[in-house]
Amino acid sequence: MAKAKLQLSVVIPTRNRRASLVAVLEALDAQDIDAETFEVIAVLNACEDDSAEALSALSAGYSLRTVELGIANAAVARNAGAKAALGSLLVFVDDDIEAVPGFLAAHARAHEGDNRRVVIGYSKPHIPGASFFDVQRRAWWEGVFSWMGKPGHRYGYRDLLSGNFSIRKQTFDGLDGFNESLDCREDYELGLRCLDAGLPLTYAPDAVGWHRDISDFARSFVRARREGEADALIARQWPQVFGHLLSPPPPPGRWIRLTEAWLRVTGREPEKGVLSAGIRLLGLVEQLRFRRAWDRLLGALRAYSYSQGVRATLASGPSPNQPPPQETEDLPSYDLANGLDAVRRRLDADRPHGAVFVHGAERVLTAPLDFASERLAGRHLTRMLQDSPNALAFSYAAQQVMGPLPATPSTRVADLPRRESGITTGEVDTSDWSFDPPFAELTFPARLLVRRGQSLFGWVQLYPGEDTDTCLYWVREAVIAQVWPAILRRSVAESLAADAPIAGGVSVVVCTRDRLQNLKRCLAAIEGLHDPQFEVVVVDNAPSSTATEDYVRQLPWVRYVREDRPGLDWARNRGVAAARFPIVAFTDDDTKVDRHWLSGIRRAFAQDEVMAMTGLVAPMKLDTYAQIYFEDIYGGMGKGFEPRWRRRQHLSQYELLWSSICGVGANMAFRRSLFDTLGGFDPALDVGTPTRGGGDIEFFHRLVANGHTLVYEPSAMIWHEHRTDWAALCGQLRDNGSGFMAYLLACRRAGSVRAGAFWRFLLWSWGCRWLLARLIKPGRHRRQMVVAEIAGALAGHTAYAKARRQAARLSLASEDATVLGVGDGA
Amino acid sequence: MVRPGYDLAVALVRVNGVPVGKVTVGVSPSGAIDARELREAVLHDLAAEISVERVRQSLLGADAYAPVATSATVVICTRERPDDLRRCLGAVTSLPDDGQEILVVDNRPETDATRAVAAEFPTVRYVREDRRGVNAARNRAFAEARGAVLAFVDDDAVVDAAWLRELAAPFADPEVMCVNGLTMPLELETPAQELFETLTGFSRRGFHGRQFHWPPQDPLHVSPTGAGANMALRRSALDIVGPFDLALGPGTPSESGDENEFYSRVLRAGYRIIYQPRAVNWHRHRRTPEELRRVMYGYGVGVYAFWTRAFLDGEWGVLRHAWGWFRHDQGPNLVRTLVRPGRATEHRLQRAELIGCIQGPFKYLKARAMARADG
Repeated sequence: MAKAKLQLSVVIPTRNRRASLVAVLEALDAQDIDAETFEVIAVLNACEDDSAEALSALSAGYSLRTVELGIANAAVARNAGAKAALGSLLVFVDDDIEAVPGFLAAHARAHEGDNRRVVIGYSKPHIPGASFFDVQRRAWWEGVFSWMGKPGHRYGYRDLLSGNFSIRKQTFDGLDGFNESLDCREDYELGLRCLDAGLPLTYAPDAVGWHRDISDFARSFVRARREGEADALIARQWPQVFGHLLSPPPPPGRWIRLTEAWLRVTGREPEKGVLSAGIRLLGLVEQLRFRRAWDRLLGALRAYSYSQGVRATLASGPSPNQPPPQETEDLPSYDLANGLDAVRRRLDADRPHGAVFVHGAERVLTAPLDFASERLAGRHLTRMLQDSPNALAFSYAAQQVMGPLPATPSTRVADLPRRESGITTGEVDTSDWSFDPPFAELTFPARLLVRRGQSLFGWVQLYPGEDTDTCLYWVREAVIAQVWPAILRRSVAESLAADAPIAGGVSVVVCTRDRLQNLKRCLAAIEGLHDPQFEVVVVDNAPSSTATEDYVRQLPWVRYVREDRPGLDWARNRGVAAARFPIVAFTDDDTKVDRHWLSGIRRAFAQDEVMAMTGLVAPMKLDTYAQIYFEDIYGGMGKGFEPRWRRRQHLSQYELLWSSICGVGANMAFRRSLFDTLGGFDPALDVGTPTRGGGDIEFFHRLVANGHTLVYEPSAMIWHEHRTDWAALCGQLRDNGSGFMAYLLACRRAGSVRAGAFWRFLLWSWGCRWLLARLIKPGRHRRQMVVAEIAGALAGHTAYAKARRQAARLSLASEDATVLGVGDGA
Repeated sequence: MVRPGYDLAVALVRVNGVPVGKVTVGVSPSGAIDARELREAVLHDLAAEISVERVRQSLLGADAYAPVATSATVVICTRERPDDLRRCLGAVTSLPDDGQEILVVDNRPETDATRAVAAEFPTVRYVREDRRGVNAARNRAFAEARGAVLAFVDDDAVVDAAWLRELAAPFADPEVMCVNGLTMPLELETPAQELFETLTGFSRRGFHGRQFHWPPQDPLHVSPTGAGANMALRRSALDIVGPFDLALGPGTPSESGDENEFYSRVLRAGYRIIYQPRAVNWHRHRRTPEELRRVMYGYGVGVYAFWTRAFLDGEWGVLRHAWGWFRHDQGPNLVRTLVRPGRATEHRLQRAELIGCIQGPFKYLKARAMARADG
C-alpha cells in the first residue's frame, strides 16, 4: 500500500493555555481521516507556562511539530506556522477549538472544485454557564453562524473568523499571509484582502469545532479596546470600508462622563476606574436579574472601551480619509421585469459592488456600494428580495394596473402653466394616461381623479414645484405616492374573479327648477352615456316660465313631466311615478354624470338584497375659495373610494341617525319596489319647502331603519358644481342646518329611534360636537358659516311644522292619486 | 350561505393555503354573504398582505408544505372531555402522514371515557398520568414521546391540514426550542366567545411570523410569543431548561401560566421561540359568561403564579412588570370600563382578572405544596 500523501497542515497558535491546547490536540487525534494525510503545527507564542513540555509528552498518531516564538502576536504566529507547513491546505485552528471527528475531512471537502476558496468552519460555542454573559455570548456566536449559513448570504470581511478556517497554502502565500502589524482583528484584515482579491468565501457548517470560549467582563473590555485600536489602523489602510469599521465613536454617556470626572478629581485613572466600577455594577444588576439594564450597561461599557481604543490610535497618527458618499445614480441598474434568472446571470457576469434593482419604472431595491462585502452575485438576489418583498409586490402591482407612459414632448415640471387662484379639477386614466381635460390644457395646481376605466383610485394633488422631471413621469410618481393602497387593491382585485356585466333598465330622474343652463349641461352628459337600457325623465318643479319645457320637448330621448307643487320631494315622487324601469336613479340639474355612472349603479344592485345606493359626488370645479372651503373643510359630498354596505343590524342608534354619511340626493338610486313598501319622499322636506333640505337623508334613514340594505358605490360617480360665492354657500349651509334639524324631527316622529338616543344625538353629537364645538373653536372653519348653519338649525323646528302644514294642504288639494306621499295628508 | 341569524362572519384569508389575515364581513338577514362585499373587505384589509405573499410564493420560492423533516409526536393532554377529544383526534388523525405518532395523555381521569375515545382511533397511543395538572401530563409526554419534536394541541381545538408541517419546519434551526402557531376561534356563537376573542383572543398575535430571543425580548414578558393551545417543543428542550413546573397550569390551584413559565426559561437560557402563524388551529372558546369570567380569573392567577415562581428564581424584574401591567393596562382598563356605558361585562372580567392576580402568589405556593405532596 502506497504511503498516503501529506495534504493538510493544521496550524494552532497558542499562548499559556496548556490544558486547552492538549484537549485540542487530542481531539485532532480522533479525526476520521488517515493520520498520515495531515500534520499539526503548534506555534508557541511567547509561552510562559509548560505548554512545550506538555507537547513533547504528548503521543499523537499524526505528526506534531512545534514552532516557538518570542512575540505575543497571533498574526506572526500563524504566519510562522504557515511557513513551516508542508501540506498544500492550511487549516487554522485556535487553541480553544476542539474538532469533531469529521472536522478535517469537511475542510478538505469544502475545497474540492475550487482552489481559491477560503473556507470558514462552524465554531460551535460550548459555554455551559448560565450567567447573563455566558448565555448572551453563546446565543451571539450561534447567531453569527446561523446568519452565515442562510442561503444567499453575501459574505463580508467579518465572516472570516481565524479560529476555524482553511485556505490553500499557495493562496495564503499569494496574500502575503496575515498582517503582522496587527495584534487583533488580523482575521478581518485578511478577510478584506481576500475580498479585494476576489477569493470566494464559503461557510462549511459540517466543519464543526467546539469552541470552549472562556471570557469575563475584564477580558471582554480589553478585547473591545484592542478591537478599536485595530479597526482604526485598518481604516487608515482601507478608506473604502471606513464606514463599516468606524462609525463615529459615540461620546460617552452622561454617567460615564460624571464617573470619569470624579475619578480625575480623586486622582485615579479614569478609564480603568470606569470599567472596574462598571464591572461591579454589572454584577449587582445581574444579582437582581434586571436584564435590560444589564444589556444597556454592558453595551455602553463595550462601546466606551472600543471608542477609547479608536481615539488612542487616531490621536497618534493621521486620521483615515473618509471616502465621499456614493451617488446611487452611478450604480448599475438591473430590471427585474426581464425575469429573475436573467438578472442572476447578468449579476454573475458583472459582479458589481452595488446595484439598483428596478422593475419597469419602479425602483425595488438598492444595494449600496459595499467594498466590505463580496461582490454581488446571482445567488444573493433572492435573499435580498426576500428582505424587501413589499417593494417588489408593489412594483408588480404598479406594472399591472398602470400602463406605460406615452411618448410625449418632454415638458419640465418647472415650465407648467400655473393659475392665479383655485385648483383645476379633472381626471386621469392610468391605463393609457389620458387626461380630461387634456394634459396640455391643465393648469396647476390641479386635483385629478385617478382611475382605471370604471374603477376609481382616489385623488392626486399636483403642485408644480422646481422639479426637473418631465411632467408625465412626475404625475406618475405623484399617483404612486398618493394612491398606492388603491393601486395594490386594484391589482389584487384584477386577479380575483371579475364581476359579470349586469343588465337591467334604469330610469334617470332629473328634477329641475328654472336652471336651464345647468340642465343643458346635465342632459348633455347623460346623452353621452351610450347605454342601451335607460330612460330620462325631467321633472320640472313649479316652473316660473316654459323655458325648460320648450328645451326638453325638443329632445326625443327625454320625457318631460311637470310637478306644480313646489318642493323637491314632490318632484322626486312625481319622477318615481313616471319611471318605467325597476331601478330609479336621481341626480340634480347641477351635475355632470360620469361615463360609467349607470354601470356603477347596476353593479350596486347586483345583489337582490340591495334596495338603495348612493354614489361618489366629486367637485366639478374648485375655482373659488368658497368651493374649496365646501369641498375640503366642510367635508364636501364625496364619501370616499371604497364601497360600504349599510344594514340595520350592524348599526347602533347613533350610527342610524348619522344618515348623512350615506351620501347625498344628487347621486342616489333605488329599486322602484321600495317606494311601494315605504311610501315616497317626505314632501315636507327638502328644497322648495320651508325646511329647505333633509329629504334625501330622511329617506336613507327610513329605508335602513326598516331593514333594507343601502350600498355606497363609488364607481357610480358624478361631478357636482358647488356654490361659487360665499353668499350662496352661506345660504346652502343654512339650509343644511334647517334640513338636518327637520330630518331629525321627522325621524323622531316616525319613532325609528329611541327617545334617549334621539336626544343624546340632537343635543350632544350634533348640537355640541358638530355645531357648538366649531363655533367655539372654528379651526379652519369660518365662524360665519357655522353661525349660518346654527341659525338654520334653530329655525328648523318652526320650518318643519310649517312645511308639514303646507304639505298636507297641497296633498289634499291634489287629486293626482299616482303621486306618492307620506305624512298626515297622504 | 350561512345559517340565518348571524350578523357578521369572520373569515380566514389564505393565499394557496398560507394564511395572510382575517376579515369581518356583514351577513344579510337571509344568511347570505355578498361575494362582492367579501371581496371588498378582503381588498380593503389585506391587499398588501396578499400581494406580498404572492410575490413570495411565485418569485422567491415558497417553502410551504414541505414534509416534516424531523420526527414528530402530536400530544393531546386531556381530562374528562370525551366529545371535544373525539373532534380533536378526528382532525389530528387526518393530518398528512409524515410518520408522526399521536399520543393522548389522560390526566387524573375519573372515568374511562377518554380511554374509550382514544381506542376508537387505532393510530393513537393512550397514556395515563395520575399526577395533578397539565404540566404533569406534558412532562409525561416528554418521557413517552419518540419524536424529536413534540407538537401540543388542546383537546378543545381542531388542527389545520398543514398544521404539523408548518409547526415542525422552523426546528431546522438548532437554536429554536419552541414554535407557536396561530389559534383562530372555532366558533363565535355567544357574546362571551366574541368577548374572549376581542379581549384575549389568540389571533390578535397577528399573521406575521416573529422570532423571540433575549436580548431584546424580555423573558418575563412572554405573552406575545404564543400559547400552549398551539405549540411545539424540541424534545431536548426539557434537558436544557428543566421540566415543566408541576405547580402551574389547569388542574392545579394556579389555573394557568403553565407554558408561560416554560417559555420564560427558554428565553432566559438564550434560545429562540418562533411565532409561526402559518400553523393554524381552531380553538373553541368558553361559551358562557361565567366560564369566561373563570378563564379571566385563572389568567390573572396564572400570570402571577408564573411571576411568583420567577421571583423565587431570583428575578426581581417581576416587580417592575407587575407594576407596569397594572399602571398601563389593568388600572386604566378598570376605570375605562367602569365609566363608559355598555361595558359592564368587560369590567367584571377585568375585576376578576385583578382578583386573580392578587391571589396568584398564594395559589402558587399552595400548588407547590400540593405538587410536592403528590411526588
